[in-house]
Amino acid sequence: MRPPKIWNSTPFKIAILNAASSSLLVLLTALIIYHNFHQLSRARIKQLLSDEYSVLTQRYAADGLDGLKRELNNAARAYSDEHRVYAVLSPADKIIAGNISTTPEFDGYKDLTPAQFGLKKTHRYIALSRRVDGYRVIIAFETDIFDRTSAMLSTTLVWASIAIIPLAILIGGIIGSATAARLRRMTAQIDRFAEGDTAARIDITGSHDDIDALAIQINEKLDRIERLMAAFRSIGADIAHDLKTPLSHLYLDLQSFAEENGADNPYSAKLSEAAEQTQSIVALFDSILNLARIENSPEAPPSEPVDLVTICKSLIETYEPIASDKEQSLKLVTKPAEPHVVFGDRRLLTQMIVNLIENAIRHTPQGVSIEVRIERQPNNSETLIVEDNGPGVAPGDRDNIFERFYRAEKSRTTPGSGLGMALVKAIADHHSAKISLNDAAPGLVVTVNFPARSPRKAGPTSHRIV
Amino acid sequence: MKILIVEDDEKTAAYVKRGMEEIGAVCDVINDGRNAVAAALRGDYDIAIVDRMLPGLDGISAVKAVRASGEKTPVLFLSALNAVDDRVEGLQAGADDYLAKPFAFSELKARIDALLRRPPTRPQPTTLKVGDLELDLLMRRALRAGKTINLQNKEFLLLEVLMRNAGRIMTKTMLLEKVWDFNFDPQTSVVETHISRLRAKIDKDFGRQILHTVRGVGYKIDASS
Repeated sequence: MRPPKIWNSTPFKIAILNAASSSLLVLLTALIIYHNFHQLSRARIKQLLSDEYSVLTQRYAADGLDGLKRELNNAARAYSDEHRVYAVLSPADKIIAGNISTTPEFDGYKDLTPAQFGLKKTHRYIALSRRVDGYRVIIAFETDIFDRTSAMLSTTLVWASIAIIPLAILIGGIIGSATAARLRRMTAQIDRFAEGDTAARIDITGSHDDIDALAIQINEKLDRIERLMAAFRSIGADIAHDLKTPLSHLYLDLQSFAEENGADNPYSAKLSEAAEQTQSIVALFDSILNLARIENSPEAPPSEPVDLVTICKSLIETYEPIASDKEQSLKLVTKPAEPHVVFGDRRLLTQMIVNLIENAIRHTPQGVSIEVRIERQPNNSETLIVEDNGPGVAPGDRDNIFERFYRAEKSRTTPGSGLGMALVKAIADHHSAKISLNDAAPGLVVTVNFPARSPRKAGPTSHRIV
Repeated sequence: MKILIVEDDEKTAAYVKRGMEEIGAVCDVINDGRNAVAAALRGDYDIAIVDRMLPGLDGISAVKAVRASGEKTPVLFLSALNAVDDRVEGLQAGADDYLAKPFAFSELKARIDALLRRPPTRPQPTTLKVGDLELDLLMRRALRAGKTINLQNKEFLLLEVLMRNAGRIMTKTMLLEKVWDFNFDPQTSVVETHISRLRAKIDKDFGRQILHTVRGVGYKIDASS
């Protein structure tokens, strides 16, 4: 398994999610604070306007219009920079006192711009307009200080919400890469187990976190698998003993009866036949056990350098007469005198090639040419190819051909256990070789690709080539 | 001829014993590993037939113990464990042959025959002779009645194995093991095909048959019969 990229790691994703949500939360908070502050400051300004208005109306009540005008002009002078605007309008709506020259007509509270008062300012106003005995009093306070405060507040919060993102990513990255490294170690340890080191377990850091809990669970499962594999290895021997003993007895009895009855007795032939059937049960049984043993063998095969050319030459010598009896041709195609060495178990590899050659001979009709080729790939890996120009295998059947007991419809009539190709696949897998079936148009081509170097620890290269 | 049978399964032990006594051997049956080692170390047996799974001490350990003491009595393993690895393990422990259960008595007899008459370790002859058939191992050349016969590699090997065991039956499995190094049953008639090719070359034009088929058992080279 390839270790995941840092940005695919779970802690990193959590960090990003966390960053996004905190940033959103801060933004939302900013919005609420801004809104509340805005409301609060407006309410406060309106309160101040109302207070100011009361002061002015009291002055009017005490000293009449002149008192009001004096009071108002004093106040307006105090705010010469038009931070506050004061005006009194005559019943004909003419400004008779104050620090502005024009005003819109309105009643009650209203938001106004400086332009509406004929002023060249930037700040905005909240204005109050009320009538006192036909005179209209207008007071407006600028909101600048509140606006700037709320703007500063919201900018600060928005920047904070932005700043959270890289920070959270950085922290997520650090935690993520630490966790990713830990998970990589775990994966490597599980891989070691899968490759046959049944003693391999995941390190427990002792931090009592969820990963540790998972590691402990995985280790328990690995313990269980190890026990099962050990049990499986001994089960073969157990079955062999428990089942083969009665089969042996049956075989011995049948054989003895046949001998005692003498060759002339018609029963003898039947008894010998029955004895032979017993033998084939045992043979099939041995094949299944052998296949299971190779498929489930956790140990690396004894890695010795094996020359494919030597094996194939010998097998071609063995099978050429058999092919030629069927009027088939069987040839080895390879550069002369050049060894093609792979690492593995010579006996198993021999059996694999035997099965491939026999398969080609048995499942093709007379007159077919069978070619065994050994090729070296540019990356120095070795490829074994067995190709025939027979009827081939239907594409739908090709996937199933390695299944145990699977037999293509038309080969039902050919004798065989249905385990030959399953064994080929098991042996190829055991050597980390890739096996594929393709259309030779016409015919079948079986390709076995050995890995470039010894898949597991290879013996020293000074080994004798066998 | 004295044979030590180490087998805890009574039925198999009785069968082997009866068969061996029929061909004139004297048999002792022992059913556990420890006693078997003690018996073998007395050194007065011509051959030991040993089961692998035994009470007391398993067959492999027993044979190793016997070999470690320098005792050279030929040992044939008779076992239900028939994977290639089991066989290799058995032979590496010091056994001389390995036969899987269930076995045909003819197969066991042929193998015991071959073990008993296995020539002691004296220099190998470079020429094998049976009647008027001659095999020159150095020149890799076969002659019958003075006429050169061209043999393919496997035919030569097959003939060599048969001639080294002249007069004795070689079963199909024995030939597969010795000539082809196959410890499995091929799905095609490997032995039959090569025997028939060999026969066509060494027998067909020479009147007198020298390569015989023993029906249901195997093959032998014999000039006298």
